[in-house]
Order: sequence, then C-alpha cells, then structure tokens
Amino acid sequence: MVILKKTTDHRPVFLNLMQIRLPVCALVSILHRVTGVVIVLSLPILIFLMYEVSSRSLFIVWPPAHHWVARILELGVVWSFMYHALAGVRHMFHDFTGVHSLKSTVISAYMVLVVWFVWILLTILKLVYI
Amino acid sequence: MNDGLSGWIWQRVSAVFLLFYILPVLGFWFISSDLYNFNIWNHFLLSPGMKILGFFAAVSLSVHACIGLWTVATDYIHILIYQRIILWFLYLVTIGSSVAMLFILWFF
Repeated sequence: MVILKKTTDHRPVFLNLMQIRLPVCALVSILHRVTGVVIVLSLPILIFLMYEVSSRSLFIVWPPAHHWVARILELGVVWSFMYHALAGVRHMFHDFTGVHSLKSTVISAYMVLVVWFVWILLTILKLVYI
Repeated sequence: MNDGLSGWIWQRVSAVFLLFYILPVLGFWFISSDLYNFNIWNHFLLSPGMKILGFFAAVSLSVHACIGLWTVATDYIHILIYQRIILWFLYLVTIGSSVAMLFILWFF
C-alpha cells in the first residue's frame, strides 16, 4: 500500500478493504479493470501461442498445454476476456443510449455478473465433458 | 492521450473492433472439441476472415490497452516515478504484442 500514498498529499487514506461496502456497480467496475490488466499480462503468452500456431513448428499438439497449470491459466484468460467484453458492452450501452438511472446501472451490473457466471459454468462443463 | 475526449472516443472505437475479434475466438475455443490441436487453430486464425478481423484487432489492441493502462495506472499509482516505469513497461508489452500479432497474421 506504500505505492498508493501520495507524497504531496497528507490527507488520511482509508484503505481497510474489509470495511468498505462494495456496491454491485463498483464490483463490476473494479473487475473490469482487474481483467483488463490480466489480459495485458497474458498477451505475451497468447502471442507466443499464435506464433506457434502460425509457424506450423508444433503442428500436432503442444504437450505443456495439457499441464494442469496451463489449463488453469487458460481458463483464467478465457474468463477474463469474456468478463471484459461483457462489462465493456454494458459500459457502451450506458454511454451511447443516455440511460444513466441508478436502477438501470444496477440491473445491467447484475446481468453482466449473471451472464459471466453462466459462461464460467459452461466452460467448466465443456472441460469436464468434452 | 492527455486530451480526455479523444481518448474516450478511441477507447470505444477500438473496443468494437476488439469485440468483433474476441467473440469469434472465444466461440471457436468453446465449440472446439480438440482444443490443443494447433492444426485447427491454424486454419481458423489464418482464415481470410479472421486475418482481416485480426488486422483491425491488432491495431485496436495497442490503442485500447494503452488508454486503459494509463487510466488504471494514473488512478492507483501516485508516486510518479513508479507510475511511469510500470506504465512504460506495460506499454512495451502491449505495443510489442500488437506489432507481433500483425507480423504473425500478415507477414509470415
């Protein structure tokens, strides 16, 4: 938390995360940011895979892909992309329709979370049954 | 990028291009029964349609991610030197990936 302290600003900073009540819109917003950073950090791996795919050097199957660590990373990236896309669509819906009521933002926030959880369940089912 | 409005617009324009790339990729990932077969990924990602979508996505990627990273980093990292170092490192990762993606899709 040292990194968050402004050197020129001596107002008290309240950062006890357990005591901050997080409304659903705030949760959707912070997850949008977290998944965005996760996606950026995963880019080198994804581009490496794309290079391998395009260069036909590993044409059949890439053995490390079957390792459980790789599969968890893969799921994390797939979930992050899906979440970021959903929350982004929600963002643009509110930007371009001019709908800004508290009710609609709360409803759309829950919709993002619900669709995302359905996607998570589907991906887990897929990995179990296919 | 210090002009807020242009950043706001570019963020959204690039978002649309990225959406049109990532949804087919996620869909393909989902329906594919042989996920780790690079052969079918090769046919999918290097098909003419996905190459064109990929061109716009690769260009949009650096725009979208750099604006987003700037927004997040300037919100949370208040010590300027750390902010700049982390930000430039992440810019490098993003733009490097973007350029690499363009080369992979179009110049190999």
